[in-house]
Amino acid sequence: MRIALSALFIAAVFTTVTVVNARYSETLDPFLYDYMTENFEEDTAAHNAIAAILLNYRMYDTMFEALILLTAIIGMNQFLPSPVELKELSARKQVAVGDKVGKE
Amino acid sequence: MSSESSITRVIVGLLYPFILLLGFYVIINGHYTPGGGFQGGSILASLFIARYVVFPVEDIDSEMLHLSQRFVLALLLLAPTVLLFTGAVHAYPEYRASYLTLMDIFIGVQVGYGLGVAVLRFAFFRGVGESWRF
Amino acid sequence: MALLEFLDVSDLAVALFFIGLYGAMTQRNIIKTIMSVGIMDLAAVVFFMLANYQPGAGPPITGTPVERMADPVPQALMITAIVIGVSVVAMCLAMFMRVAYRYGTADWNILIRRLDK
Repeated sequence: MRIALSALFIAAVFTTVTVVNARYSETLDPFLYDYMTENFEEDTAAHNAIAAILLNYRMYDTMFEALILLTAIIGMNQFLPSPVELKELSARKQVAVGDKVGKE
Repeated sequence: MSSESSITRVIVGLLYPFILLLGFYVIINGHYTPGGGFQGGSILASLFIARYVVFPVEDIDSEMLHLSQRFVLALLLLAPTVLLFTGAVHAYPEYRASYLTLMDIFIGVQVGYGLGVAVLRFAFFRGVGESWRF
Repeated sequence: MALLEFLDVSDLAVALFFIGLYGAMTQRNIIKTIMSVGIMDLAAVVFFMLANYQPGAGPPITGTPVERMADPVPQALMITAIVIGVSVVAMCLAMFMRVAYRYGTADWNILIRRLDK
């Protein structure tokens, strides 16, 4: 029952989005495309436009995206302790190794 | 896949230097052909994963990998601040290509170590709790 | 069919997004829900890379003439978006592993029943 309702809802929203896309469409000003494809070789000595964008025009994006990887690994450090850390934590009695699972 | 299978171990051992070479090729030539830091870094990360998959022994020191990843990330955040944002790269136009290659190497090594540490932490986890009951 | 003339190629990416949304709403296994969230991330990436499409375009390196270059800006932004998607899925899987080892199941309904006890 819930699956049928979800399928109906998703089909309705998808049809609405498709119909709206077919009737109304707008285009943006191609200023960024013109500037990037013409000037990326004089400003930065790169032969690859994407490397010039990622390492010169949009350096902040690259720097903070490298920080996101570090944040994900720190979060995984919290959830997935290694056996050495587990022994250390149970010696200080902060986590009970070998919890009992409740019966169903 | 049991750990006694020696075919995959021998083949991965033979392919190891070629994958390493391909990864560094994609990283270093990132400013000339399509490629760059992230793409080459993923190729380097696949080496750690392949090595653990064919030979599941926990002798890789993931703490040292994490430490070197954080060190390279500190260099990655420091180099543009000193070189790019102060205009030093524009004052000496013949070093611009070397700056791009340097940044690509930092990004590639950081992404490779980061993804390797992530997968190895999944693999070395010992559960706190009883085993599965469905 | 006359319906196919109204459809654009970017509607494929929208359909992929809604398939991922349907999976996140109705799946009973936790791993399949996480996979559906990953599919939604990648559908957004595909949609942005189809922007400003010109037939017969070449890669944006110095070999191709300037009038026929593909748009480099969405491609450069989507490299960052893919890494963000990978980080989100990694965090979800780490949380799932703790829950699964503690409560011993990978099913949403059984997990909720065991949480309430």
